[in-house]
Amino acid sequence: METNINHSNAHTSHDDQGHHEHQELKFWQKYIFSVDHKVIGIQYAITALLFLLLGFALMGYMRYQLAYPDTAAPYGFGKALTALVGQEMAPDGKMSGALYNSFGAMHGTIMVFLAIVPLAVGAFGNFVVPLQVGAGDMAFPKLNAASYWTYLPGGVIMLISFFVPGGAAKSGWTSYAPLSVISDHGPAFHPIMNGQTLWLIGMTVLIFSSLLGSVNMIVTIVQLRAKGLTWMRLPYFVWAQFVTAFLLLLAFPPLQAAGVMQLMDRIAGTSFFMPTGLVVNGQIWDHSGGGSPLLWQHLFWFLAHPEVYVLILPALGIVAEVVSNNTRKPIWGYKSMVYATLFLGVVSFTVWAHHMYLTGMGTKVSSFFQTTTIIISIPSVIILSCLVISLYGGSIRFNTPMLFAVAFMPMFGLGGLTGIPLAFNATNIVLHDTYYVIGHFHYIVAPGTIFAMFAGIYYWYPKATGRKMSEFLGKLHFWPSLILMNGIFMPMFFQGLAGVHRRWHTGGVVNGEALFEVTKHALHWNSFMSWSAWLLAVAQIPFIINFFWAWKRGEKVGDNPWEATTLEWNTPTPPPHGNFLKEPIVYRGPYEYSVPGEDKDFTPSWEEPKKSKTDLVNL
Amino acid sequence: MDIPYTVNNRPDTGLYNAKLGMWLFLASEVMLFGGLFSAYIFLRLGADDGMWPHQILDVKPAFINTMILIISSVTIVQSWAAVKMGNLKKFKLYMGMTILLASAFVGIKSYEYYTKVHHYGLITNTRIQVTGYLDQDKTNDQVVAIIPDKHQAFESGKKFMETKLEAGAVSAGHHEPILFQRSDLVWFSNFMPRYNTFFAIYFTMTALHALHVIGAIVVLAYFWGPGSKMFHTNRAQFANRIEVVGLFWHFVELVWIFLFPVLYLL
Amino acid sequence: MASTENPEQIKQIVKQHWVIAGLLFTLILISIGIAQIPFVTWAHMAIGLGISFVMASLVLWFFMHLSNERKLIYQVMVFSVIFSIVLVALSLLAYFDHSGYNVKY
Repeated sequence: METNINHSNAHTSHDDQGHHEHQELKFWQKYIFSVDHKVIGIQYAITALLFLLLGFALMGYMRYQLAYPDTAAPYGFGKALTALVGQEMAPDGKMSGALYNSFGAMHGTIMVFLAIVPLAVGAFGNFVVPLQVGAGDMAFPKLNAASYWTYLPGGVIMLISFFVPGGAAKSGWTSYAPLSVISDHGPAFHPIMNGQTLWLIGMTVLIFSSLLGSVNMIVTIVQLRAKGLTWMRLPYFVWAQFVTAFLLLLAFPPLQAAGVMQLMDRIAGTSFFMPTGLVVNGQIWDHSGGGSPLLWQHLFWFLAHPEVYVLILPALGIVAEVVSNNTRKPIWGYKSMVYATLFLGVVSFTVWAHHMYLTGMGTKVSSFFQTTTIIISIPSVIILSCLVISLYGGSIRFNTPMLFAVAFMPMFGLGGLTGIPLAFNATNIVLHDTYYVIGHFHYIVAPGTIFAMFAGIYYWYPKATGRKMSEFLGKLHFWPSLILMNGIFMPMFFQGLAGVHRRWHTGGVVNGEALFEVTKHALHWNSFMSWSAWLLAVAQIPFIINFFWAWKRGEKVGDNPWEATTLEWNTPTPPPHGNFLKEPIVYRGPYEYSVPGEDKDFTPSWEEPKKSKTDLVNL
Repeated sequence: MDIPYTVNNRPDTGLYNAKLGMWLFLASEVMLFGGLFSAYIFLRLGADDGMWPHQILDVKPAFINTMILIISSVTIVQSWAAVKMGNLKKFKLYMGMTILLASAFVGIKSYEYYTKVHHYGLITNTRIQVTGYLDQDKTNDQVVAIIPDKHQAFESGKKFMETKLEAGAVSAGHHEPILFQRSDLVWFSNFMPRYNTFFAIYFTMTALHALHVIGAIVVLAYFWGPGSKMFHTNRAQFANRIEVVGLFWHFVELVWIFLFPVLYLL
Repeated sequence: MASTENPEQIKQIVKQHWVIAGLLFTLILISIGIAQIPFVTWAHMAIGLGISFVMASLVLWFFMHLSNERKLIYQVMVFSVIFSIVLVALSLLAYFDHSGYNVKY
């Protein structure tokens, strides 16, 4: 670390000494209210993984309802459901329509805002980025802790909302007005302790947390890069986090504004999103009117489309790191990947209304958004192509992180390609709100992003704990997961093309008869997909065992077990508070693998060049 | 463990951490208020003809508030200059003034909110919108007695008042209440957010802005009080802190510069 | 502008702030005055917002001393301003271009 930054300040050395005294911290200071980015990263990781499991559990119940409509789940699962959410929402273990809606909305909310984003940005961003840029910590350590400690209450508020009268929010994760404003509203409900209002409050808190995190991330990357670590020497993962942080910083506030307005609609009786003359249950809604439901959609999707790239960019970053490390060669087209990512970040702010083709948008606007949406597929294809080409000619080590990273590519590709028919407004009209859409974005997020997250966990676990996770259990985790993921999501395309609607809470069947003749032949997939989902849950058991077992019992490893080149492997393992023993200096690009003429197949970026001094430090 | 560039600028970026952090935060604030202003535009466009009020709010308190913010912008830079010059007393004086001015802003804003509670408006089933104060004695379950405002903010209200005056139904001083049957009214409420979309956006935006002011008061008070210890231990960093909080304070003023004409004048 | 100013410059900065404050004061009076003149609505809008933009630029340029700030800061602010304009402009475009039926949104 640079210590000579302030000559006039005699207290710098004083603080240093103070710090050494602080080494003897109490347990709760060290592991609970820590300001160390690594501890906060691990806190984020564990919390987010728990939420991931919860979101999955909600889906497990929903899939039961879809496969075996209006029957109680066996083996006590149905009873447990009733015990948790009450007889009204789950009569005799059966899932009511309201509970199905509620679980659907909360599955989306939890997965996006409480699981994947905190895992990708909060956990990996926090843990890895300062290490990779050679910083001692994030730029604002206290702010970093504050970000976690606002994220957690946000999650707790969302959890509480399951147990209030009427249950959790049930207007979809998109929370479209006016449906969301009129739900759980009226004298029978508490003005604040009801599902939708708590959802809005929870979201406001979460957005605040993400704001703190993203400011911190950008400042860390801009200001705390090690000596010699120029922009084009940054690992691609850092670039991905950098653009992600900008997306979070600039896309979230409009939703914050929209959330506050919807909160006003629900609590203060305003009409921001409530049109004139709205009739609910045969009665004119008591409001002044004049609001615009489409305004909510604009503000929501202005966030939620960039949010898609928030979900995917860190995943691409992790895959790039793992692929380069395990093919033992530089990633192909590093610069084009970086520029593609920057371009992707900018354009992602101009595509949001492709979620709104069915709102009566005119041809001009539809064409505009159709065009930008197709344009944004270009940088995604560039990045994915670079990753695939990187595999070519490498002597690949198929360890667990690499398996997940390699599987990510076709899965993400499938998700991306099936998105193109949704980008065109003509085909979108047919596919909108069917299972096709669900299949499309789940291919990107589930076997896509989540696989990349697993790759990241297996890859950086040795750095965080000093021990490797078991390869055998890892493979036992990977192969069933890959097959079962496809078992869940591939049939969604078949169903969607047949016209199965995404919100039928009995899976398109009523009293044993298909709801619509046209979808009849596609409904038998329901139970197949459900069984795949439950078996996928079973397939996660090796991972959970592995995760905790390896913490104490895993194979001990050195500082650089993967023989990697980026800066995070230049620290002691696990890294102490302050990370680096001496100030790291970077001499070369991030992926110098198999450099001809070198004695080993990796040249760490921190190793002083032996032969020439020509490409020495240029800050 | 020390974080570098908390005091001095990083050579290649020319910035210290907190300044970059603050500007990033302000960028996200631009988007926050951008979202709200786009809502304002949507609501104004979407309002039925004649339903969007024109200069319904009293300009005087808002004008005073504008002045307060402009002056406090100067006092806060004075306090920063005092830190730079090494004059703690002067710093405390100017920082104290800034805090007082900011508190006065919140006070006047609260007064404005308070007046809205007693200000009423109604819409008849013939789409006439009349604003004014309630005559409590004559208002009951069936009848709303309203003492109309001299300057009606809605066209329909102005026309209504003119015809009433011609008919001699209202005295010149407008002190006589006009009685409306409740069954003839489609909407009747005081000027709280629910009255119409204008008041909804007015309250939401100004309250959010006032929250920023209150947040600033808390931070400024911290620097004025316990935080000022840093003046002795690390003056350079303390000056940076004042500069950064000053950036935030100027931004709060900048938002007000748009809020004032948009809500009060146009 | 951390730790680069000498006392003379600091005095200059404070003086400059007083001048700008006076300018802002004048501009706010002008905009209140103009609001009393019965123009058509769009003219009021244009003039009122025009004056606001001038005032905002003064605040940004002098009070927040963008006048002597780094490129990085400009880039951040330019992006946020562009994106908020995109938000407003494209939503409005969608508002005015709707297919066939004439509804109030």
